[in-house]
Amino acid sequence: MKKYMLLLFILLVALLTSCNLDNQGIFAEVLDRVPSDNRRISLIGRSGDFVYFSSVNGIESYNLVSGVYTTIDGSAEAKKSNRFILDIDNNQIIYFIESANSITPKYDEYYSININTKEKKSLDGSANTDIFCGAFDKYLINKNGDVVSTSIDDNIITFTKKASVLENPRFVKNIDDILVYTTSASGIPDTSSLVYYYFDDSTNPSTPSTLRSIVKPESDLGNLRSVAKDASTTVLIFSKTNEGTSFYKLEGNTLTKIYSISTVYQKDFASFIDNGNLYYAYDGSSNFYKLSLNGGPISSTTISKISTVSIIGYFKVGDNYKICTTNNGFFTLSVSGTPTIL
Amino acid sequence: MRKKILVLCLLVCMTFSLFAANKYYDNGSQRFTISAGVDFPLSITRFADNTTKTFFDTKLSLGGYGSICYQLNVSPQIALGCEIGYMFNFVIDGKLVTNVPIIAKATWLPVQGTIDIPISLGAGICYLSLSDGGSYLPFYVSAEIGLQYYFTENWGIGVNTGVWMIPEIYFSSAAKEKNAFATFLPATLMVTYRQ
Repeated sequence: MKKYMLLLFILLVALLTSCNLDNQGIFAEVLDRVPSDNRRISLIGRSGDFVYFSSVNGIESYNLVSGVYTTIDGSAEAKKSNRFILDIDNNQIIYFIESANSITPKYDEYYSININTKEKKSLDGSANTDIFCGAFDKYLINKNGDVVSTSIDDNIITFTKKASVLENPRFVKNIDDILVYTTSASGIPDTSSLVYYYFDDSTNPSTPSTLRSIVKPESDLGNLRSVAKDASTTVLIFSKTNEGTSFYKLEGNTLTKIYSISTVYQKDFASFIDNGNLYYAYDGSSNFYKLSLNGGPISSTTISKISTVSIIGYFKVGDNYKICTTNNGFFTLSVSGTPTIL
Repeated sequence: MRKKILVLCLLVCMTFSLFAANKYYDNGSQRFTISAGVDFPLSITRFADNTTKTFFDTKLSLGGYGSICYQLNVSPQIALGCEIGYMFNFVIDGKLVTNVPIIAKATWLPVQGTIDIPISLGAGICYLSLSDGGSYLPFYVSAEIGLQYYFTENWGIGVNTGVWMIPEIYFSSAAKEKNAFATFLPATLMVTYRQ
């Protein structure tokens, strides 16, 4: 009988230990939760005080100052695979609808809508069978690694290849006028990411855009998850299976590791740089972190708690930031003094 | 106030004693109960910032609970056994908190016969998880009271309520800010087969 009791005790201790390694905090966490609006937001871009996004309600705008949502086009499908471009110069959003019932996904329905008048047009253009893997401001990048610009003359949309890069782009992010993406060269496993930079010649449209910088890390850094940039610093965040997440500063074409967290491997990071500090959050955590980049010891601090949300964008408004989340709308984050969610 | 509570306790005891003359159970009698109903979040206390929220301010919705329980009488009035259940509540952002208590349960049956009034204390562990968060295996304590009517010799139906207490205590110093204590109030219908 004693043997069985001992066995039961050992089993109970093992069970408690194994289940309690995952110390996330459940009831403590629940108190910080906020209501979900279930909008399933995908960001399109920002123009002045307005942020444009697609959601279950169609194409919407959010006024960063007044906090008012406005529906631009309720009929636009919010399918994640659809692509949207914000053409600020012409006050319009161009969007590409993925064809239904197509074995090979292709985008052959094009529309534009004026963000002020809400006038919608169906556009004609040659069917583009390339799979668009991402959209950024006025460009698309397709599966062939081509950066494609669009122009509209009357109702005809034309695609123009601006630059060619390697195949299979995996991570696409634009910050200011820079497009960042990674790619895997043929034959190299997926985890062996190479980093490429594409600098847009937006200041001189008559000059063909070129690749300005290519960064090829000597070792496999894992998957690029996020890029943060201000006037003087660029930070790239990589996550690698079994090794966690590392932060690299980009200087010239050299990446220098500045910080790493061995316990965190996450797919979605959201980050920005303000006044010498990197602010970041990642999916699955209810914390914001602050990492000093101005020399001295690098510290990571929990600065505020909100619910576990997928943060998909930051927008500076005055001294504060508006944080856009997939399903919980927008929050205001103050980074002056002690950073807090207002 | 104290006098009123004393009088109330006295009345309850007197009521019990009216029924207590009827002994139904013997040593070895068995009870198998299936319960289903709702659970109300009563309170959550987070120790790190000494915050206590009650009812729907806990950000939890009205939830559901179902369980099975088997008990064996060790004396005419005391039954011992175990219960396994499944409880869920939605968080305000639509995520799901689930809880699977596995407890040892002691029941005192001061009133038994056609009408049973089981008063139970339970203790054990529960597998607690949040759909987009972590999971944990905290201790679990329950105190419950029920009222059952036996419409045949063996079959009875009834209602049950009480309080469940879940201390979510982390032992590592890094996780101590996540220490919390939650209570819930169940209201369930139960069907019991006894022999």
